[in-house]
Amino acid sequence: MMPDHPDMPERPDPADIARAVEQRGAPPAAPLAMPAQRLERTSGPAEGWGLWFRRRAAILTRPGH
Amino acid sequence: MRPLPSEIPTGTVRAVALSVSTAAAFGAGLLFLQVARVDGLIWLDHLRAVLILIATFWLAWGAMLAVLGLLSPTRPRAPLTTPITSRTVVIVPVFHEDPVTTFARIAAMDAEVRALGLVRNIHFAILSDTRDAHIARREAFWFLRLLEETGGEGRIFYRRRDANRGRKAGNVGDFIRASGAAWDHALILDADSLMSGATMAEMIRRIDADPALGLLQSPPTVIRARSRFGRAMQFAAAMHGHAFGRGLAILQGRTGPFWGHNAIVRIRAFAESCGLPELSGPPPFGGHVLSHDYVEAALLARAGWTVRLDTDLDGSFEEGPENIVLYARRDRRWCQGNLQHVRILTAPGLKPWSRFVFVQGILSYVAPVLWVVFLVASILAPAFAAPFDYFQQSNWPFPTLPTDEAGKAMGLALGVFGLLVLPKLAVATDAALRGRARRGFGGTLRAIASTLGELVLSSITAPVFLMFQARALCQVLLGRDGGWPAQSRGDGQLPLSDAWETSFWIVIAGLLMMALTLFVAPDLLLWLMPVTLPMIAAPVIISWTSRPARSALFTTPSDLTPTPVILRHDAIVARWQGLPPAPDDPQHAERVTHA
Repeated sequence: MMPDHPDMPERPDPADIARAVEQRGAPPAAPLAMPAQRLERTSGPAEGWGLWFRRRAAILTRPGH
Repeated sequence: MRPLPSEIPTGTVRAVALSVSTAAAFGAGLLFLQVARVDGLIWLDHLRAVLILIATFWLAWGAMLAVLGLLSPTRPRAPLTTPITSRTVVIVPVFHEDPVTTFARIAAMDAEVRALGLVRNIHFAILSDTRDAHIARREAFWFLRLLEETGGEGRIFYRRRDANRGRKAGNVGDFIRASGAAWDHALILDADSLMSGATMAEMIRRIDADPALGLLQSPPTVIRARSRFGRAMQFAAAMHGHAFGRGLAILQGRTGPFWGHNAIVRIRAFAESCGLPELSGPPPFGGHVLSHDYVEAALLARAGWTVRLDTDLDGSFEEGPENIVLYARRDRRWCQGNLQHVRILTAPGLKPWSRFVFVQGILSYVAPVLWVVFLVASILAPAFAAPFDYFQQSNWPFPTLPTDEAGKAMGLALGVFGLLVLPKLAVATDAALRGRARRGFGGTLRAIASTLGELVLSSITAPVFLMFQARALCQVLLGRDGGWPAQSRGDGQLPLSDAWETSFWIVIAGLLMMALTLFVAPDLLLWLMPVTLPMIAAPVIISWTSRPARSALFTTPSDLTPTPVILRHDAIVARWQGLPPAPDDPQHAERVTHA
């Protein structure tokens, strides 16, 4: 635990300190949903435009297309 | 100057600012083409015209912020006196910070909260992402000290994450998911933030009074700078920051900025709108969103919430980097974060202005580098130019002499220089005329001397910053992730050897640029000296500016009349530093050994 006196020479046990912090400092449990937002367009190709163009080019240049 | 009427619609102000900046940019580009055509236009000239067009737009845009700010002096809102019934948690994310100074800030702010009788309404939560076990043990030790000192059990909380997923945004997000429903608002701070109790209360009252307000940003004042570089930055922020901030607030309107700290958010709005996903692909463009604050502001606006910057709020403080290297390190992180916004530009449903804000952020790192490319292109241009044809008409015996466009070239140079310097001079003149310089900056003469000193210092350091920014941009474009380095705080003094280690490559680049100019375009040698000489002297500049400032130059209002919360913090730090240190602290072991 914390030394009571500023000049107390003892070395406090870190495990005791960690326990005390957990008991006295843990924030209350009060969950709130925070859904992940959509930031990337899904209307475009999922694989990225570069790969999409290469694939389309490969299809168009395929013999017999 | 007559102030702008407050009822001008934001859209009109934006249109005017955009039109003026675009006109200035095209004017500069066309003027350059007129100058360049003297010896015949080549592809390099067209490239330079485009570069100067984009870079000038960016400069003109910055100047417009100052002009708008000057034309619209702060109209302080009447302080609200309604009783506070809502509950707010002050969030302090920490990552390898010194717990003594950081937790002492919380003790100082808590003392103000207690003095206002708001202990039931304002709580604190320290959210640690510290990975270093030794620092974590110190945090735990000093947290208990904080509880003892403040009697804050049940009001001041501490939790450390097992894994720091999503960095700072993830840290805050995890807290909101686990505990967010316990409060109505969150006042998000940085580890080095400090805020007076009155400002906290005023921000809470403002967000309570406007149910559409999702986020309210305060303009933080930089304090406690000690080095020459830090003092100059602190002065510039205090002298010019208000005008630029007001300009920004007017332009952004209800789609305001969020700078990641010293802002209050409505927790329900934040939770509903600001859950950040991981972007597909690896860093630097994929992965966690680095500059999350811009994105969160855009997401709140997308969901219909107002995001506002109130420039009349004082009593909100932060600390800044003490030397150029620390500044560049922070800038490296911001550069990667802003460039990552390329991925978010097309996010569905964003307000057009939010997209424009992303473009501005990207441009703030790209535009300086365009100047570097412009300079290199200008050095190389003579090597590609065809010799002038004095006999352009075969039947005409007299030579056609090149037209003298030196006046236009000088006009262009002065115009660009003016866009850089005039806004600052205008703000300083305004401060002198209104008495702000006399009251807050140690007298009108000292304020003017400080303004000129800051202009000189920023001109000398600009090429060094330019090179750091160019390197950061190249690293990001080459796919190098900058990681998440801890913020280095402290006095930041750099010996010459350390400065050399971090900037020798700038010296080499400066010497190469000078040699290239000497061989390819010797006429430009003198013109380029303001750029090449500071590059060659980079280690000296970095080391010299990191040393403690001893002159009265760069005095700011916070030096002359520190706000009580700053003095409270000083007193607590002084007292805590006199106490026995934390276990495992090297000082502790030393004290026991010598006892």
